[in-house]
Amino acid sequence: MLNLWNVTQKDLRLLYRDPLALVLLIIMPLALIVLLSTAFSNVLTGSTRIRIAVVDLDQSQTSGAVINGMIASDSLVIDRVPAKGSAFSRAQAAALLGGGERLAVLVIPAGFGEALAGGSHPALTYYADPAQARNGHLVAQAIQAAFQAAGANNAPAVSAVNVDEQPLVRGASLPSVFEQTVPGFTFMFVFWLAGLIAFSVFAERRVYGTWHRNYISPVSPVTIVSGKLIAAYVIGCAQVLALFVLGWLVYGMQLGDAPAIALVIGCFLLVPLAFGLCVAAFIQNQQVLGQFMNLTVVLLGALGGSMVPIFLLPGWMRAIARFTPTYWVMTAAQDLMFRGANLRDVTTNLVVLVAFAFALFVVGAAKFRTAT
Amino acid sequence: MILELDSVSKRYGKVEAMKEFSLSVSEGERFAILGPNGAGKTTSISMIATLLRPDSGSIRVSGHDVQKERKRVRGLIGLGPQDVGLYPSFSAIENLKYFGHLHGLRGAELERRIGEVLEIAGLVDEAKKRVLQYSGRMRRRLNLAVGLLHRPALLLLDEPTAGVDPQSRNRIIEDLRAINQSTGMTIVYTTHYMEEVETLCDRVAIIDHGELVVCDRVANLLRSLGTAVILARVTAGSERLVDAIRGQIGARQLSASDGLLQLGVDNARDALPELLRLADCVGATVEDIQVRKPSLEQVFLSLTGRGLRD
Repeated sequence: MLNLWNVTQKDLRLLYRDPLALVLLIIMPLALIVLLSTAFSNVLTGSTRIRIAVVDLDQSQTSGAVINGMIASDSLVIDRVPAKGSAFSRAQAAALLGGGERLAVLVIPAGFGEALAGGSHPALTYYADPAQARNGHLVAQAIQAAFQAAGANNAPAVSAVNVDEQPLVRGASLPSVFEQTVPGFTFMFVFWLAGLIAFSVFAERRVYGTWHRNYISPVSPVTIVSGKLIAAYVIGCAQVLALFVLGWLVYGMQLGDAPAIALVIGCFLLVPLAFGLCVAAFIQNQQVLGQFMNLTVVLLGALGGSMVPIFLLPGWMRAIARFTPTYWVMTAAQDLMFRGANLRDVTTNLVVLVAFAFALFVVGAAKFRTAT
Repeated sequence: MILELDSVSKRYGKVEAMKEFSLSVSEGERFAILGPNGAGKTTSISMIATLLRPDSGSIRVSGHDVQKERKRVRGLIGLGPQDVGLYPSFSAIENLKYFGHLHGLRGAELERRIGEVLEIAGLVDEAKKRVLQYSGRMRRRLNLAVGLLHRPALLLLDEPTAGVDPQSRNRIIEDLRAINQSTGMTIVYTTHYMEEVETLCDRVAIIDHGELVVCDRVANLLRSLGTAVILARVTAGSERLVDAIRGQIGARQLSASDGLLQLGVDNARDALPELLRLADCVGATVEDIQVRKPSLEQVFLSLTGRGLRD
């Protein structure tokens, strides 16, 4: 145990004396959070097309015309969902929202066309993803524009249509753009821990020449590698804590079920650790290592919903996203922070994250043993 | 015996790095493994240090098998790797503390040992400076100090003087001799500098292409060439001259390689004029001739037919 602490302490001290690594781990994600949040916010309020699902319970000529108007809209991508019966539940809406894949689910109720024709003002139910609710006004605007377009042909009193936003989860307040970018960029940059581990092993083997000296000491190689991984885990915890506390204090980011979030992050941190072991085992060239890590961090961030919310991605990318650990930690974190979910609701995410870590660890450890 | 290698072989793909290599080293010896680059020196040290597994044969340190009792063996050996193995952003003291901890040293005992090895390395005044501020020579000495910290029974040094200026090299050799004499620590080190071996070592194993060429006391090997070595650069008729010399001059050793004729003799004063006379007789052209004290370079040439640095 003393030896494990000795190795861990050594690695922490080495990092502490490497200001560039600290910049990469803390300052870089922070700068990106601030800079890209602004840019990201502009993108969302600009010409980005919003994906929503539409459920037509009315099946009237009017509702069909309205949906066609939406499909023709430049600002909407419509997934037309066949109606099953005459009722629609919140659970069905939640399933269609798909953890951020769609921004909203619009339900056109039965009798809607008739009510419009009769001159009344029927309520239109619009289920929003609370995690993206800051962008909800975009949905409302786009729907109203589509109604106006449809109204030009069919002439019902479109202005009288009442768009009703209904947050799916009781009591959840709405997240800001920082509440997307702070966890997003934090989880994205946490993956640099893998690079940190791989670079540390590379430096000991090829730059400092200390690997053999460590290896031939009476301390077991498992202890030496474990000490390195624990040091990286501690650094990862400090990195996430610093960025989340900053998001909370400076940008008013909600933390929701904080202990559950801590557990999710704790499990997620195991993934870059195990991945680092794989990278260290498979890549022995410093330049290749750097380029591989840059690419990996950006790819996982982009695909997993760290850089860009999932609902903005095209369908094939959303399908791929499920194979990235960032997708599972992002959806779990957003569920816990903004959708009022509890630990039980994110059990699947936890299991997937631990499975990712376990699989990578098994491969990494086996290869690492032979490679070193 | 503190170290025994018995029929050790190691292969890297198609390259046979060690072939049926056997040797033994007694406690307190200063022992060198000498050979040209690629001869198998680092492979042999790495196998003794438990860093590489031999394909066949056995290696024992103080009677403990390096494969079966790795942890035990690792407590008995100290390693000075060919490349300096230190954390550059740590000071000398921090490096020594870290590696001392790995060897189970703690508290006052560790402090005392650190003081001792810093003294040996001559780094007491620089002990708190970070290693990245050290000169190459200081790093080499700290590298050696780390290897000595846990007072290993067997100190393995892989080319400790490679790339070091002559002055620093001499200092390192002096340090090693002093350590051996004061502590009785066995030193096994690899080098391709035969002068170092002649200065420092009791015995030497000369290896080439992974094979043991000879293993003997340095004095015996030097004596095998006689009291002097005549080196003659022959530009024409060297084969005729070699044939003529055989049986004519009382040469202990005779070899010829690329026109360089080497004769180990007991009496250079008599042999030299005789050599020139024979060259004249057979029509050989001697362009340059030197008489030298026997060296391991010449031993290597006589045994392998080529120079150590070829």
